[in-house]
Amino acid sequence: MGVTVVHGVRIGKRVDLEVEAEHADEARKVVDQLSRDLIANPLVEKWEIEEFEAVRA
Amino acid sequence: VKVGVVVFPGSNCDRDALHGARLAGAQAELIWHEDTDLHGADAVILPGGFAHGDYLRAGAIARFSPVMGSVRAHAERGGLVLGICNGFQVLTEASLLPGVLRRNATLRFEHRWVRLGVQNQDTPFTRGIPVGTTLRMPIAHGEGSYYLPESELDAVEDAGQVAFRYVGPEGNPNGSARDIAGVTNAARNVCGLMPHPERASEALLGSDDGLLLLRSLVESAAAAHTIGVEAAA
Repeated sequence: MGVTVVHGVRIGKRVDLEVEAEHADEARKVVDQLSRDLIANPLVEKWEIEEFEAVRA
Repeated sequence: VKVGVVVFPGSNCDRDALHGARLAGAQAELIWHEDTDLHGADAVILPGGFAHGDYLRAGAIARFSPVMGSVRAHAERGGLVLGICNGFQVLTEASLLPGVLRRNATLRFEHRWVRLGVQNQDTPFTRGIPVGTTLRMPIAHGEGSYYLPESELDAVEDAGQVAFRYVGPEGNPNGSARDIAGVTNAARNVCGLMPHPERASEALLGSDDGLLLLRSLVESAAAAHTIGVEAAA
């Protein structure tokens, strides 16, 4: 491509979770806990939770 | 004295650690990560490699391996635990050691010989190794940049928990805060370091400096073992 000035690259993470819950708040609570305790290491990682439309089984 | 070397799926320095522990004078055996029994090990080594493929983050999944409950209990009883490279990453993710190992500052996998300066000889892993001694060992990692917020770093330094720093012309290979290569917990019975003592345990390998650390571990475990046996008698 002729771009010769990029010498380092780091790609972030996007994690999609399907959660079974009665309400969006309930789902958010679960995802928030998982983010803090597993998906991110809070010492060095930040996270944002984005909600998508509810899917009904 | 018995040393148990944990084998996670993806561990790749387990046999080397086993060999190193034997060279250091211990009986040693492998412990599969699904085992919850440490087979009477006086000291446990979490070896290098890529436990559970290092998915998510290095060490993040391994802390859920069944054996880790027993490793934690062993550590809480004052038992010795040494984490090498990936084992160090597992111990930080399991909160048995402070801090985290981030992506190398170079953004590259770094594999080369480095020098470690012993910072504290008053740990079971460095007993008999005078402060200022330099040990030549290899590193091989992509995520070895030790990080802890400044205020917590001060506390860790003040408590004498910094066991090893990168020194000499080879320098700090990964951007670790304050050149830290290895730390202990506050009780000093759990230690992690990124360089590989087991890969420097025979002159044939280019250095046997790592044997000093492994011998120290085995001798400390032997002393603890004797005290335990006397207490039980």
